[in-house]
Formats: sequence, structure tokens, C-alpha cells
Amino acid sequence: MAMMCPTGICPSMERGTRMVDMLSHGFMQRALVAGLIVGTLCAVVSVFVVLKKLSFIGAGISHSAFGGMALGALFGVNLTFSAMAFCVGVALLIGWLSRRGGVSEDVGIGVVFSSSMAMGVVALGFSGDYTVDLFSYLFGSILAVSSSDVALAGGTLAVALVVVVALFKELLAYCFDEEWAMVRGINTRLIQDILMVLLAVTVVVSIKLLGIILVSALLVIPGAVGRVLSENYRGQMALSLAVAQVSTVAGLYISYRFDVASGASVALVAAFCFFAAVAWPRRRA
Amino acid sequence: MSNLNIVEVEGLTVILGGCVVLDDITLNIRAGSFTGLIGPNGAGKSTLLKVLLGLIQPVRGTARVFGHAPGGSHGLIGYVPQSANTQDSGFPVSVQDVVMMGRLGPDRIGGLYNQADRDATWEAMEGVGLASMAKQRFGSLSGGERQRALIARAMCGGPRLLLLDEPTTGVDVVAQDDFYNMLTRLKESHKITIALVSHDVGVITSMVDDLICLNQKVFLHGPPGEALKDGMIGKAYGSQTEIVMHGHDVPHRHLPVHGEGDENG
Ligand SMILES: Nc1ncnc2c1ncn2[C@@H]1O[C@H](COP(=O)(O)OP(=O)(O)OP(=O)(O)O)[C@@H](O)[C@H]1O
Ligand SMILES: [Mg+2]
Repeated sequence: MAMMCPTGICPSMERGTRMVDMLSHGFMQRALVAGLIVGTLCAVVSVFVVLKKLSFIGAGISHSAFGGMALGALFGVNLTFSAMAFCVGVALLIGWLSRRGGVSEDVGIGVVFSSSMAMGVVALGFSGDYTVDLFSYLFGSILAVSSSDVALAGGTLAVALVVVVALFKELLAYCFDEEWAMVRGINTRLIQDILMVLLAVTVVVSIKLLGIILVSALLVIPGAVGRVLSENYRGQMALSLAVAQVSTVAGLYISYRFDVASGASVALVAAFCFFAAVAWPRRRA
Repeated sequence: MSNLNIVEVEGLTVILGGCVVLDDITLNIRAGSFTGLIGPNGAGKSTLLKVLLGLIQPVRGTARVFGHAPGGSHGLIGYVPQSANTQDSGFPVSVQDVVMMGRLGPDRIGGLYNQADRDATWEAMEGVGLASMAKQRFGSLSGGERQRALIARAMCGGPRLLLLDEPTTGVDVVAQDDFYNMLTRLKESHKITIALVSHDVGVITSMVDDLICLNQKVFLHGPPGEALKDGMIGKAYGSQTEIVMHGHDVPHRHLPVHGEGDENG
């Protein structure tokens, strides 16, 4: 199961240090294209994650992908497909829990998130399938990205962009003042569900590259940097896109060059951007 | 729907968290009237407005707004919530962005804001004297300025009915005067119906056509002059109160009378 070399590129393998050399590999071309797509998707979603304070929900959904994949392995279903179905279900469940009240939202997420991970471990135990490369699913791998993954990510991005552009003013109002959105006759329940599903599909198409554990970095950090450095959501969105792209490209290069899991290198570059942004001298108090 | 009443509430009972907040309320708001809603803290004034907005469901009774069930006439209602401080003050939106949210609606989903939206937004901001702050971050405004922005947000949808929940809390005296003048102007020029919750009994009774005094039940419903005579306000507030009158029957404020107050009303 676990490998000594997370990227799967043997240390002895000849590796150029220049970007051009890196791009001569088919897997790196796929990883880079996937990275740009996934980065854009995460950047857009992370703006709403930060505005609506959903970062814990993002982490909850991404961890539950583990349960979805393990169940897929147990029943012999395509792992991406099972993770997608499972995560969308979990996302809607969390949305429902938060609307229902009675138990505070973070408690609901905590329960859902740990129980689906537990379910994943049990399912893996039953399936006895240890060919699943757990390490790369948890932390991401540049080698894991197939061309169908790239196609799925591209399709998801296209749909997500259409949805976000079409519903932008409603999404923003929902994040800013939910009651007001309701007063204006916006179906905030539907808006919340759409946002949850968006979060879930973003998580799933990002997993190959960023990993179950580390995808939440790109779901939070780009939008957070934008928020720290900008007074307006437009600036926040632009900065979020920039940070996500820089993080994925630089992170993938580091992953290739130093043979580390791509989720980790991308998350570290993003985290660096975040701390730099926070430390940056600002006028705003 | 009756032509005369924009809001018709009958036998309305609301229970929140196991407590009866509104108990068998029946009242009307006449078309074109300025109705004042008063009552002590926790009386259910905000709750009543939220029922009319479709945000809270009653357990019994009916409320009809423009002849529809609440929630069925969003475009016609402008609302200023009680506190302008509930929003996250760091939220990256400008004053203009917030005011523009007054143009949202179920029929507007799927498109961007257009020129008409921008014009209405601008007009509403000028109406409350915030045009020069349009680009400023909403959270950077003072409490009173935020309140004005929310008034502009309520206005820019072109409402026929304005529901105002203590809209002038934190607004300075000059701006309050401006605001009340603006309301009177709107009422005359646009034939808007206004329902205003306020603790400022003095101001409210000198301006309104109808006064509703609420404390779980309706204690009083009628023209303010009559209403003030029979001491119903005192009963609603749960203690003996003395209305300090000045000028032509204008109550200035009501004070509890110490020593003989019946705390439980
Ligand atoms: N979601 C809720 N759950 C339980 N009780 C609630 C809820 N919302 C309001 N209440 C209760 O309903 C009562 C009426 O509240 P409401 O906000 O309508 O009062 P109000 O008349 O607007 O008071 P104020 O003058 O302080 O604004 C209060 O006792 C309050 O505690
Ligand atoms: Mg209130």
C-alpha cells in the first residue's frame, strides 16, 4: 500500500530542474492542467467558504470523501464516483443539520466527519483491498491524475462557473445577510444546498492532486488571503485566484522536483502566502 | 383583500422556544397609513414584523399582506431590521453593494444588476445622505450610518409597505428629523404605507395615524389621541406609567410611577 516515494518517481530517475523539463512528462502536463483547473475551482469556492465561515464544513466534507472512496473500493464502484455521491450526500446532510438547529452546527459537522472516516476504515478492513494507494489519496500525487480526471475537473469547473456567475448576487447576499435574502424572496435553502454541493464536487475533483486531508488548504487559504488584503469581494476574488494558481503551479513544481506529495507542497506554498498576507503592513486596523 | 387594509392579522398566535410570544393578535394596517408599534422589550414587536415578512410561522391564526400569505409579496415590502450590528463588520462589501441588495428578488435570479438597479441604489443612498460614502466598506461605517444604509437598502426596491424595526436607533437627532421627514414625504408622494416600531413614544405619537400597543396581546389599536387617554399604555408596559405631556397633547415620555407599580401587569 504505502510507498517509499510518494510521487512514484524513483529517486534515481533522471529529472531536469527546469520547468521545460518538467513539462516534457505527460503526467506532469496532466498534473499542471488539472492544477490550474482545480486551483480556479478552489479559489472561487474558497471566497464563499471564507465569507460564510464554512472552513470547518469544507474540512468535514473532504474527510468524509475517505468514507466514500472506501465504500467504493468495498463494492467495486469507481472511487471518484462513490466519493462524489458520498460527499454530496454528506454536504446536504450538513446543510440540513445546520438549518434544523437543536444541535450546534460545528457539533453536527464533527459527528458526520468522524463517523464517515470511521466508516471508511471499516469498509477498507472488510474489502481487504490494500492495493488502494492510501498515501496518495490522503496527501495527493502528481502521478495519480489521469486524463479522465482532467476532463472531469474541467467539466466541473465549467458548470461551477456558470452557477456562480448566474447566482453571484444571491450567493453574496446569502453570505452577508441571510435574513435579508429571505425577505427578498430568495430561496436561501436552495442557495445553501447549491453552495454545499459546489463545495462537495470541488473537494472530490481536487482529491487526486491535493489529497483528502490537504484539499481543505485550498478551500480556505486563497479566499482568506483575498479577504485579508482586500476591502471588497471583487478584489478578494481576484487575489484568491492569484494565490490558488501560484500555489498549485509552485506546489506542483516542488512536488516534482523534491519528490513530495503534491497536496503537501501546494498547501505549504498557500500557507506561506497566507502568513505573508497577514504580516503585510496594512492601513486597515 | 379589503381595499382599505394592506395588512390583516387575525387570531395570530406565535410560539417561540416554547414561549407564547404573540397571543391571539388581531389587527389591521390601513392602506396609506402611518402606523406606530410600541410596547416594552420582549413584547413581540419584532416577531410580528417577522411574521408579516414570512420569516416566522404562526402556530394559529392568519396574517395577510397585500392579500397574500406572508412571503408572497417580497417586492412590495421594504424592511429595516432592528439592529445594524448583526452583520460581520469585516465583510468585504461597500455601502453601495449593500444598498443594491435591496434590488434582489426571485424574478431577478440569474442575472447581474443593471443600470436601473444602479440608479435606484444611487437615489436611495442620496435619500439618506450616504452618497459620498458609497464606496466605503459597509463595516467601516458608524452604527448610525449603517442604519441609514439599511434604510436605503429597504427603500431602493421601491416598496409599497415599509416595515421599520427601530430604524433610528443610533441615528443622531438631525438625521432622525431628516429620516422622519423623509418618511412623511414618501408617504405623501408615493402613497406608501408605513409601520414603525419605536420606543420613542413622543415622536411616534406625534407622527402616526394609528398606534398599536403590543405586549403579547394587543393592548391598544387606534388613533394615538384616543389611545393615550385611557391608560392602556401603562397596562401594556406592565407598570403604572405616567405620560409626561407637553404642548398639544404630545406625550413626551412615560415614566414608571415608583412605589405603586404592579410589576406583573
Ligand atoms: N428564536 C427565538 N426563540 C425563542 N424565543 C424567542 C425567539 N425570538 C424571540 N423570542 C422571544 O420572543 C419574545 C419577543 O421578542 P421580540 O424580539 O419580538 O420582542 P420586541 O418586542 O421586538 O422587543 P425589543 O423592544 O427588545 O426589540 C422575547 O421574549 C424573546 O425572548
Ligand atoms: Mg424588537
